[in-house]
Amino acid sequence: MKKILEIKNVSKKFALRKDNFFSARKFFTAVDNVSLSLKENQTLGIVGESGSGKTTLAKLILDIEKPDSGEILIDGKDITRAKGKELKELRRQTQVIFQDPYSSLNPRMNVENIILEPLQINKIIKQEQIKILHSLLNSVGLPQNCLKKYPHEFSGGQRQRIAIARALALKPKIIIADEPISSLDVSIQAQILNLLKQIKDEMRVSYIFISHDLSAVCHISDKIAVMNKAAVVELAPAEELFKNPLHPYTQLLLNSVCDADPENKNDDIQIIQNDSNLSPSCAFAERCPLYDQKHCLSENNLSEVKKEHFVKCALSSQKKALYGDRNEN
Amino acid sequence: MMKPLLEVKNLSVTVNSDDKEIEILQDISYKLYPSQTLAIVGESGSGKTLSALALVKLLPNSVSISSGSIIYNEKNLTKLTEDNLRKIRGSKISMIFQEPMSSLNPVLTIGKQISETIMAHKKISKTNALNQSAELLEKVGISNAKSRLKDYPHNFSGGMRQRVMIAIALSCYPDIVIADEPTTALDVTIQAQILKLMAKLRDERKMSMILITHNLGIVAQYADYALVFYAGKIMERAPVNRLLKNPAHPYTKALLDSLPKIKHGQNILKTIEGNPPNFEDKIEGCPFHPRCGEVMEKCKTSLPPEFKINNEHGSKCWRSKATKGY
Repeated sequence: MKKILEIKNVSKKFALRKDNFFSARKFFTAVDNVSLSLKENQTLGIVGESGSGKTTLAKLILDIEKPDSGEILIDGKDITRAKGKELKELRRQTQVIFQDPYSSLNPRMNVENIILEPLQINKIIKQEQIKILHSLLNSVGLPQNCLKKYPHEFSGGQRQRIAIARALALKPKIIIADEPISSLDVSIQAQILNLLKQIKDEMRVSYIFISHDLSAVCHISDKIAVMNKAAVVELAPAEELFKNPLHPYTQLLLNSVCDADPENKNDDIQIIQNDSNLSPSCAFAERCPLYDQKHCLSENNLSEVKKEHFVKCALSSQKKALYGDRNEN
Repeated sequence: MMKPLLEVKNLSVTVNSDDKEIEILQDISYKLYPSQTLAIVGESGSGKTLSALALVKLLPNSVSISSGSIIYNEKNLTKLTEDNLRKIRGSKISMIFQEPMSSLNPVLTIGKQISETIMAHKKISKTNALNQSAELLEKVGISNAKSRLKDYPHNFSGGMRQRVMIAIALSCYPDIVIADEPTTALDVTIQAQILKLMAKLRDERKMSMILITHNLGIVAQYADYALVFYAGKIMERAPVNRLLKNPAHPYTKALLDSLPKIKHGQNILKTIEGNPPNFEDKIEGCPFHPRCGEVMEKCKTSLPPEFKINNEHGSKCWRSKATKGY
């Protein structure tokens, strides 16, 4: 399958406010040397805690922020260096669905205008616009008579459908869904997850699905990247990641999920606080249950431990022996 | 049978808006036993938060209790004067709210905010109150507690702030802690830590807890008994294990089916069609019938009473009448 998106060694730092006029400027690294790729009609899930750089990465792909270094190739073309017409064309290929459908839709525009806006900006012929509009309403499951209504007349789930229709309007190749279900009610979340899946099969789009809800990510993703403190620490196919998590951070995340099965108690969560300035090479060192000075001080990179299973941990080779397969026990 | 610590009987709550009276909680009855964790589950707008606020009469101005009683310690809380109620609120029954940033006062130090509660309920000197505050902070897992008393809420992270909230809630050794979505604003790893901490303190102090949440995972892990709320009514009540393994009400079943599960493959999820009702909508019969997959003609016209499936398990559904005794 063709790679639709390739992120190569992308980094992004943000300048922090100076303590005083003479002090040196400090930086906050939001994305640190991240490389990922996305194949056609696949879903890449990105999980991590707040502040781990998930959304910044999404912004870089959407060209809302420019990376400090690295390349982002969409269909082989680098969006970070594109200009003018080429940039406009590339931007059509990536669209976004935001977390909160209450604030991401303009309250003064009706549904028709919201969905048509991207088409108008890209100068699609009028007749074509109307056709697209009606087929979009159909595919996201909104009634045809809602065109003149305003966002406040809809419920959260329906608003998210409008946002999805807007994202689909330009037939993008990649849709970035940044926490698309976390502000919705439990009974509505499943509706939106199903809709996203159905659209993926019908329109052959690829998703980047960002969420902190691991069970939702697992449900929808083909491949999952786990981010911790600006870096990707583990990358594996969804099923493999859940069966056999190798990075201690991934294990912590998985153990923290509250399972709706009362027999499956999550009792084995350890709260670890190692000395905070021990290891510069691994961002997770302070909270790592396996921390050991000898190994963790050395540089480590994302390396392939098993086929298509990448881990960034100096101890990952030994860990297999420590934890074993999750399935076996 | 143990004596219940708190008993809510036929509680109804109404809101007055534009000369209309709308009943937002209808006929809520339940018992809370000592050392029990009772979960109240429901979607937004189902009345789960209001039902807890009503216990300590922290209701907004336009909302009032229209009938029913809340019995705690042989006293009816609905009949108590504001002064007497204030003695119970915060000391015997305390609350932990969802958003720790907005429930802490940003311009007062943490020490001031914890000792304030202690001093309001006990005759104690300021220094002693501060010392107790430090002990409490230590208890909820904040290191260097003494020096952190002088910090302001913005110096703490989200998880730490929630710990401070817990410290305040526990400061007067309450019998009942009401936790309203205590971890919704937090990351999963922090959520697990906070819930564990609350469970540990609950066991140490033999408190009862009312845990309000929409997350069935949290219910499964931390609660003993659960009430499922929908449109201001209790649709189903059962011990947690039974509720999740053997739900009787179609709403509970559908809710459980719609959860994505980590271990299962990527099939299409079952969904509940439609949206949860607004409390202004008048629905004839069972409030869930427009979305119910097992709807019958009877459901559209008359509200089912609660059928007892066994001593501890009740379900407000006409279908449960048929399956009664299974």
